[in-house]
Amino acid sequence: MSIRSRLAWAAGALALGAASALLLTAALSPPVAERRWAAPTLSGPLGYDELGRNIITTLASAALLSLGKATLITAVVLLIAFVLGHFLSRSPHRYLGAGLQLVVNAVESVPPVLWVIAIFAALREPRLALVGLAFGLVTLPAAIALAAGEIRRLRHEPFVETAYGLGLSEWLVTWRHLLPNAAAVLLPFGFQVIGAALAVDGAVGIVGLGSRIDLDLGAFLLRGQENFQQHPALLIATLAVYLAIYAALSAALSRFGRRRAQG
Amino acid sequence: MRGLKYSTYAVATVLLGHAIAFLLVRTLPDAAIVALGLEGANAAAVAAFRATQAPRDYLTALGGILRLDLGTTLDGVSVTEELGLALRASAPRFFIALGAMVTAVALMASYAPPLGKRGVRVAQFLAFVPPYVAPFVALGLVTSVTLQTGFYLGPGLLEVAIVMTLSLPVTALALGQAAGVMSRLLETHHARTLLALGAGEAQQRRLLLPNLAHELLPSLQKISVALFGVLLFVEPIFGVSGLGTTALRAARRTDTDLMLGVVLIFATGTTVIALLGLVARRRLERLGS
Repeated sequence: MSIRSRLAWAAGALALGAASALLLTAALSPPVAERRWAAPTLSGPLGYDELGRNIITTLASAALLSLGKATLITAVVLLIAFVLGHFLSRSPHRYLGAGLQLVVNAVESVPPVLWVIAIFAALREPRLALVGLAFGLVTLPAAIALAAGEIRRLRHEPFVETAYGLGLSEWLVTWRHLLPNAAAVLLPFGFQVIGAALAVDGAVGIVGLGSRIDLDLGAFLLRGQENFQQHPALLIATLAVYLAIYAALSAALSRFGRRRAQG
Repeated sequence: MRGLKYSTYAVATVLLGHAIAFLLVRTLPDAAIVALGLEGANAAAVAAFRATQAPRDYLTALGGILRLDLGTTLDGVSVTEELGLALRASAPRFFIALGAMVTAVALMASYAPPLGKRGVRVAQFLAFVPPYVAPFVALGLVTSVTLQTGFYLGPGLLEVAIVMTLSLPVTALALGQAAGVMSRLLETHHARTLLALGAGEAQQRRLLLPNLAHELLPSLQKISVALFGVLLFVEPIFGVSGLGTTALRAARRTDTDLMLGVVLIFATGTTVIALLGLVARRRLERLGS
């Protein structure tokens, strides 16, 4: 990477950090009751919500927080999926592998709504961990199956067999060949997972366990839907933010694909 | 022999899923407290409630499955009866949505040129948005139309809206994946050889369909299971009866027997989908060899 692009990245990160701090400060400032559903102003071009908060700053803060949370949850899901998928694909202990697959299928066969309610009822706090746990349990079976299938396929590729033939350790083969090549399948899957994780609080809200005042895109979707008749701007703005996040992530994924193709 | 192995595996999966659900239901708040509320749940009221709603232990619940007796709901209705009604409402929605998805993939693969870059982007975005967003938007539009024009959406049209919101995200996901696989298949030597041997473009695509199906099967399997999960969110949002509404009601009220019945259906459904996928893959492999 050239010095110019490094500087551009650093400046971008600084600007993003400053903007996030400003937005969070504005969003966390106490709501003004008199401004409930107030008309748009110069400082609040989308108007004010039912709590008297500036819609544009709270939505932007919610987008940043949700993106951070979704990225963290997705990274953990992909990591666990890769580790367990790697274990399943090796299957040195035939029955252990089959047993683990059975457990994965059984977990998948329990409706997501029951997982969510049970986890919230059993643990109650901390909220991020609960949401992550519930979401992870629902997503993991598919992720593990995908990772195991891809790693199993890669193990039969000539370059991997050659690496084993040259005496490379399992750890080295995994690090140099399996992980980078499995990323081509796991990252697009992770892209879909981030989309769902971004608004996982909305799904939790449908079940009746969410908090409507949270700075979260899912909570915005729920509130947007509830107030769609009188205040459609809330739902439309939330969907527009979704589109913007999708475009940014899609561009990042394309960039990764191009670099992979060049490499 | 292989059939016996698969059947044993399927039964084990369903029973393990049932056991996990039994443990999960045990973590939910006490049904008596949920039904009576914290204020009303004094010791005498809880005892009276339990006298009419004695919880079943795991072995009794397991024995009930073998005797096809799934117990009774908190309202005293037979779970089998309640689930039968829910299934009658949900099954057509599920199968129509599944059929729409498979048909769209088959049509796209057989006739239409693979989605262009823009088409793939739109399909990816529809799949990127969480599946429960579509029902929100659809419900908002339905309510708007009703309020603005006074035109009441009858049960038939409401069902169409539900099925469309159900199938849209999964179809978009499947179409995006199918377009990618088909484009790659059309570039292979095998596909070019078919053209060189005199096959037309339509025939070439038809001959490539088994290859497409073979590559897409694992994804389609997972997408079908996801469709089941989406059903659980779509029905409560639209406020219509069905398996999703029943599952949510059972979980909120800690209706143990009803919840276990829903899990049994869910587990059986996902296992049947997995088995069908396995059988289809074997058939396609035999066809290929």
